[in-house]
Amino acid sequence: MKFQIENATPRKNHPGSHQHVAEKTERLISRTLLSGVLISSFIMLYGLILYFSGHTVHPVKSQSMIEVIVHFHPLDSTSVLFMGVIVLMLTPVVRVILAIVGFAQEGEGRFVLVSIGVLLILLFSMIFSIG
Amino acid sequence: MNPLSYVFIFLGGIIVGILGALLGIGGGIFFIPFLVLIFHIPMHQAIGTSIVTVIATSSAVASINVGRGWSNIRLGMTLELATTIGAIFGGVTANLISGATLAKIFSIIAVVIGFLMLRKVETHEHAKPIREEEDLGKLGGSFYDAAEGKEIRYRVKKPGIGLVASFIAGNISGLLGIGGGVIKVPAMNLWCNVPIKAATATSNFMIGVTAVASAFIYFAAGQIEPRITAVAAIGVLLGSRIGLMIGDRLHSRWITTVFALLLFGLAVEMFLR
Repeated sequence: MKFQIENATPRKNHPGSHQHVAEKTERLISRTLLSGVLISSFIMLYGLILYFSGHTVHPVKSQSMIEVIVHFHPLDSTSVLFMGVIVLMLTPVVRVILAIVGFAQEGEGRFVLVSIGVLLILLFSMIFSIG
Repeated sequence: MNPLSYVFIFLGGIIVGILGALLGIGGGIFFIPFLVLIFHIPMHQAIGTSIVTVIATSSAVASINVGRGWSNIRLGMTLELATTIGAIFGGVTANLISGATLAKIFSIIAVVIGFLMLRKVETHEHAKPIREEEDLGKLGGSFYDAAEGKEIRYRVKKPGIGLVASFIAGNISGLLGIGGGVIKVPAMNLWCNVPIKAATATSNFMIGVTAVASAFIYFAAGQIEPRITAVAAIGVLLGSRIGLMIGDRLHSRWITTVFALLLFGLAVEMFLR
């Protein structure tokens, strides 16, 4: 499976205009999304191999994200599979953080605030779910 | 669940991934009935599985679109303020109501989406591009359209309507585990003057973050079964990759119509279940 990032299309960025978030930020976001998907896929694949080869220590039960991370067991299919799901879920969160940094570097205060707002909503959901 | 079921869910995921890429919809709307009707997976768990596959495909596709410069990140982040709040409400609501009620809501939304799919065939490149020297406004954007061989510049109109549509899309996404692009894309295109390519790419860019907002809730509620979710996510990812490869060659009215009709059938099955 190979998701190629196509950068072949020519792009015109007018100096002084701000229609595009800096290409550097766009590229970083693009790579982060791809890496997150690939890393989590490999973790899940490894978890499935553990499961089908009988390496399940803990039965599947409802756990919080913190419990999964703190009690991570690299040879337990349940633990590894949950970890794969968590890496996947954290990928868009990292993407929001990168957007905050990118907008900050360009001095776009309004969009820094917007992005921080989105991050806070996500953190609220995360913490609210744990509590 | 026996091991063979995982193989079938994996294959189902591939088919759903291909479909999603071909029809330009997330695919969750087909995946949930597949899990519920064939494998008798409880509705909440099917939604939890679907929402994780939605994060996977949206991130993979967004990675390509952002790299190309098609996604309007400013507009996307702004509308995410509304989609994420909507998604949290949707996720909380879903966990308060019964699976049977959720299945009925799902049927109704599936019928609406079926009609939108049929209508989508007639959607044109609706947005009005602007000239080079004109200001794009705070949210406007531009991208290079290879098909037209030029840079398309557009200004975003009525962002308020965009926010309302995004809230509704996020709400349905959190409630039913689907992406919600089917609502956001026409809204951005018809009302907010965003060209269809940029609207699709921006919607997709937003879906990952929207899905995560409710995925945390499903995760904490124990509705994400890790084995089913893992085979489904890997299957859907593979499928969407295959779909993108055969993609543009298969844009026909015929396929969309057939699957819209299939969706009506699935909606009836889910309702009567």
